[in-house]
Formats: sequence, structure tokens, C-alpha cells
Amino acid sequence: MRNRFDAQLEMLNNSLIAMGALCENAIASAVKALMNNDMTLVSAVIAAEAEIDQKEKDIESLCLKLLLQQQPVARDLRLISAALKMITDMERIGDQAADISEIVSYIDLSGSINKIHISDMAQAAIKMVTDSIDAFVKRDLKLAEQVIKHDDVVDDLFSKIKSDVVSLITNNPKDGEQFVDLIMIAKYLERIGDHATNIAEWVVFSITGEHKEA
Amino acid sequence: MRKRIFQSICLACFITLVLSTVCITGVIYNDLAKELKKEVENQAMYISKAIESADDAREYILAIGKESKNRITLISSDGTVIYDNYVPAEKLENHLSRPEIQAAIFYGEGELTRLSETLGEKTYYYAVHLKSGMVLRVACTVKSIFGLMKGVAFWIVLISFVILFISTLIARIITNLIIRPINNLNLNDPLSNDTYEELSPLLTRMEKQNRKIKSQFDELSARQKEFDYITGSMNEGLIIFGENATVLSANKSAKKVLGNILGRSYLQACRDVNFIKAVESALGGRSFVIKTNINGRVYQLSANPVESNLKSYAAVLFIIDITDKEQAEKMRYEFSANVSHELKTPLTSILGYAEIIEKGIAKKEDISRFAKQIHTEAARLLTLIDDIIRLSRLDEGNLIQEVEKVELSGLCKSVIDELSEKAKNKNVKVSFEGGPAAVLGYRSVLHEMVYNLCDNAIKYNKGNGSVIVKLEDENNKIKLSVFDTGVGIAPCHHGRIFERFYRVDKSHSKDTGGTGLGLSIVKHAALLHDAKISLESRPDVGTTITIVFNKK
Repeated sequence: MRNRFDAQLEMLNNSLIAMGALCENAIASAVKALMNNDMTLVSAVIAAEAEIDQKEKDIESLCLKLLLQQQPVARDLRLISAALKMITDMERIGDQAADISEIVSYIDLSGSINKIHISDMAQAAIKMVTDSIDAFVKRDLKLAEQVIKHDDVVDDLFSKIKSDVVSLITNNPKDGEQFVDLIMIAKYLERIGDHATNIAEWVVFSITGEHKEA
Repeated sequence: MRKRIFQSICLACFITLVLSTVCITGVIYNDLAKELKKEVENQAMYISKAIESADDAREYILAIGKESKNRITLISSDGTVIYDNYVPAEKLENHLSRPEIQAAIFYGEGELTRLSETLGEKTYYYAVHLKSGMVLRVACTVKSIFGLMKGVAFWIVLISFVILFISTLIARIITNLIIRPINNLNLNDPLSNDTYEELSPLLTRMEKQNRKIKSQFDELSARQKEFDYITGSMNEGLIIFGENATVLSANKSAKKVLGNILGRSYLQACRDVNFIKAVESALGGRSFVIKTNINGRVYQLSANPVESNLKSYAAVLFIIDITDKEQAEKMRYEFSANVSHELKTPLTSILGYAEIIEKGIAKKEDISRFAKQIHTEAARLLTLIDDIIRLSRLDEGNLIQEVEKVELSGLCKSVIDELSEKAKNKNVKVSFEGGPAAVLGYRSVLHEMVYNLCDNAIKYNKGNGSVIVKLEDENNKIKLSVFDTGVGIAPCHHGRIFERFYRVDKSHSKDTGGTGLGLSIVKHAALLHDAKISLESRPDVGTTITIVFNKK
């Protein structure tokens, strides 16, 4: 009985990592599509988003099955409840990656992209997602806390981009639409950072049993 | 085993205790009964003698009856009880029919043992026929064996408990003594044990198996070592996945790429999408080859399934670092793109001018200017092709020339002479410092190297600038440096200026007439001579390129 439960927990762990990998890939591809205006990557991100949604459903039903059949306690219960919360954040990351690539698909931003720090922000957001999943894989409390702190960097970059965009629009009202789309992308990236922070918080919870409410 | 021995000893003790109690009681009781019989017989004898010799028998018997604990009965010859010291005589019925009385009358004496189960008593009667014709009977009642035991049952139980307690203690000690040698067996060297003979077949067998296991283990570890040695010295990363998708083995190179991943699942090892795809495909039974980017380097992953049974697969994954290869490929691609571009540019001008002249569109006075342009461009094309040929020769490394001792100071001076005209045109002063120094090498290659360096130093100099060629002979090294006071190179270009066709200032390449191959030729020439190139440069201050030869 216990062996079966352990095997199921291991499966849950692996599914979460796989879903995390999909998210990492989706956001990295979305950013690459944005930077290089690459249309083949856009469709890849949208396909990945569907896969992430499916994975969310699978993991959710696995979690519920485990809760019902095994009635876990202590650490196992924390892992399962954290998993249930984490998949929601991962799914949102997938959605936002798809949103970014959708913007890329209808407007060519390659002209204005280098005028603001969106590349830095994208790299910071990708790093947060990667680190939060790394923290889960390695059960690394320190790394998870670093991710939570790193959110400030992304937030600062967002406010910087916002003020940059304001002055850019005033100076070139012609390109206004592009800049508005860029600020949307920046907002998506900022939200991705927040979701990565949430994941990191649930990693902390699954290790220590304490959940910091940001 | 300990329990079994302990229980056996306890059981034996208990059985012994019960049996011995029963037997001893029986024997003692039997003995006791015999003694009693004798005593009763004796008493009867004494009383009968005393009655026969007494003056007043009646008085005597009354006196003795009062004192005696045994029952004394005097019976007349017709069976009537004359006297009894327990029960008044008149209450007793005629005793003639009693077997002991009958026996006494017939044989002179008679006895009877009567057992009363209900009272738990046993009565022994002994009758003697007196000379007077009367019969004297003496009876003694003792408790029967069961009665006796009932009386002392408490003591028997108490003593039994004490004995059982003591025997339990002893049993425990004995058990420990028996078990101790077994517990202390040295299993690593079974034959060294000095213990029960009965164990020796087992120990011998164990020794044999120990030896077998050791030899198999040695063989296995030797094989493992061999495997580790082979895979450890491989440049390619090798990872073996078990059927449950965890890492069974990873060699040094694989660990360098992915960290210590032993025992982890493939998802925990690396979350790169291509890596996951490759491993999953191999675990599903299909080979998979893919290029991927891990930590900024390019790897080729080649995953192959290993059939372990019909249903599931293990997998072997090779990780080959192809970053350098990819880069070389990219450079080759860039080179051919550059070459075609560089060759095309002068040709386009030549074609243009030639076409204008051919069609007669050109004015007469312009024709000579156009012809000059065609000449310049053709010369440039020739230089370019020469440079490319030189470079490819250096690349191939198969020079027809022989290695000879080349005196660098002379070579430098002749290069300076060759370039003096050019220097004068640019108003640059070129000077030489240092004494003679010779290296082993290819004269023409070295000449080209110094020529290119000096040519660059003059070309990219400012007016009234200077160039110093310096030759230093240090211990076992020869240092050739070319200083200039030219435009300098910004630090961001330092890494790339030795690449083919790389230009710092792309817009003015035509003015200076360079091909973009000069420094590349210098680099290859230095490589050919095992020399090291270093660059020091600051924009608007000047550049120093130093080449250090090893003296052989």
C-alpha cells in the first residue's frame, strides 16, 4: 500500500517537473518569438499552452485521487496541497506566454523593442520561473527565497519600462500602438514574475509547512 | 533458538519435578506403611503377651486402652466385642465375620487393610488369637496417599514454585552459555571459529560461499572499474537510464554538463525540452538524435533504447559537445559569405566602368580616370585573391618551404624599407629598435607577418604619427612588438579583429585599401610558429601588437 503511494507521489513529483519544464519552454519561446519576430515559435507556444492545460487537469485529478484514496498526512499532504496550488500558477504562466506570442503574431515590434529594457525584464522573468522550478526539484529553500526576493527586480524593471514608454509615446506618437503592446507584454512578464513568486512560496510551504502571504 | 532451548530446559525441569514428587511420595508412603504395620504388629504382640501373663487382664486392657493412640479391640471367641477403646463395646456388632478375626482364629493372626476413599484414610487391622480364645485386634488409621498429599499440597505447590523459579533462572543462564558461541561466530572467517562440532558443516559451506561471493564481487568491481575507466576518460557524456527513468550511471563528462544526477529521474536531471524529448523517446523504444542548448553550450544528444524485456526499455544517452564545431561551421559560413561579397564589390565597379566605356557613354576625358579605377579595383581584387590563397595555404599547413634560421632584425629592416614610400605618403615615421635575433621558421611567412603588422600600423595611423618595430631577445623568448600612435581599437573589437574579414570601421574599408585578412594572416603565421599574439590598444592613443616566439 505504502509502496504504491510512494510511487504515486513520485509520479506527481515528476509530472510537476514536466509541467514546469513546459512552462519554462513556453515563456522562453514566447520571449524568443518576441525578440526575433519569429512566427514559427508563436504557434509552438500556443501548442505548448494547450499541453500545459492538459497537464494541469491530469495533475489535479492525480492530486484529488491521492487525497481521497491515501488520506495523506504531514509532508505528503503538504506536497499534494502545494502541488494543487502550484499547477494553477504554472497554468497562468502558460497562458501569459501564449498572450505574449499572440501579440507578437499580429504586430511587428522588432523596431521598438530595443528602445526599452524589455529584454532584461524577460530574462529576469525567465530566470525566476527557472529558479522556482529548480527550487522545487532540489527542494532548495534558499533558492525559493531568492526567487521571492527577485520579484522586486522584475517589478522595478516594469515601472522603469512604464516611464520609458510614457516618454517614448510623447516623442513618437506615430509608434504609439507598438509601445502600448509592449507595455502589455511587460505587464504579462510582471505577472509571470508574480506567479513564479507564488510557486516559490508553495515550495517553501511544502518544505517548512509555513506559507508566507505576499 | 534461544527461546526453544529455554523452553525445553524449563519443560524438562517441570516434568522432572512432577515425576520426582510423585515417585518419591509413593516410595516414602509405601515405606511408611510398612513401618506402621510392623509397629501395629509389635504393639499387638506386646499387648497379647501382657494380657496372657497379667493377673487381671481386664484391668490391664482398660489401662492400656486409655493410653494407646491405636484402636484396641478385644473380641471373645464367639465374636462379641468385649472391649474397644474408641467405641463402647455394646454398640459394636458381632465381629466374627470380619476377615482379620477369621484369619486370627484359624491361623493365630490376621490382618486387613481397609481404604476409605471418602475420608482419605487407610486403616490397618491386625488381630492376634489369644490363648484364652479371645482375639485381640489393634488398628491404626493413617491418611491415604491422596489424603497425605492433600494435607501437604500447599507446601508441595510452594516448593514447586520456588524450584521452578530457580530452574528458570538456571535455564536462562544455561541457554545463554549455549547460545554465546553461536552469537560470537565470526562470519567473515567461518573456519576460524572454535565452536560446536555440529555447526562445522554449516561453517564450511559458509566459507565456500564467502569465497565464491568475494570472487564474484571482485570480478564485478573489476568490470565496473573497467567500465568507469573507459567512460570516465571519454569526452562525450554518457548517461544510462534504468527502466524507471532514473539515472543508473553517468560518466565524468555527463556530470560536468548536468551536475551530480545519479539516482535522480531524468526530469530532475535536466528540464531542457530537447533533452526530455530524447530521453522519453529512447525509453519508449525509439532512437533519437537532436541538437540542444544547455547552459550556453551546444550539445548533440543521441539517445538509444536498450531492450531489457519485452515491455519496457532502458536508455543510453550520449552528450557530445559540438559548440566548437558549430562555431567553426558558423565561421566557415560567414567566411564564404564574406569572400563572395568582397570579391563581388570590386568586380561590380569594374563591370560598371567597363560597361560605360563599352557603350560609349563615357566622355573621352573621363575614360582614363575610369581605366585607372578599373586598374585599382582589379589590383585590389588581385591582392584579395592573393591574401585568400595565402590564408588557405597557412590553413592547410602544408608549406613547400623548409624551416630555416631567419634573422628577424634584417627582415624587419627590409620590411620598413619596402614600406618607406607608403609611410612617407601618410607622413608617418617608422623606426626600428633592438638587436639581432633569429628564429627558426619560414622566411616568407614571417616576412608576410611583419609586413602586415607594419602595413596596418601605417595604414591606421594619424598624420605625423610614428611606428616603432621593436625586437627583444629575452632568455628563451624573442619578442617582436609593433607600436603605433594610430586610431586604436575599442575594447569591444579586441576579441574579433583576428577573424577573417572583420573590420573595426566597416564604412572606410575601401579608403585604406585593406582586405580584412591582414591580421588573420598574422594570426595564422604566429600559430604556425607556435608564437603567442597579444594586443594592447586604446582608441585614439595607439595600438601595440606583440608576438612572442619561443627560442628552440
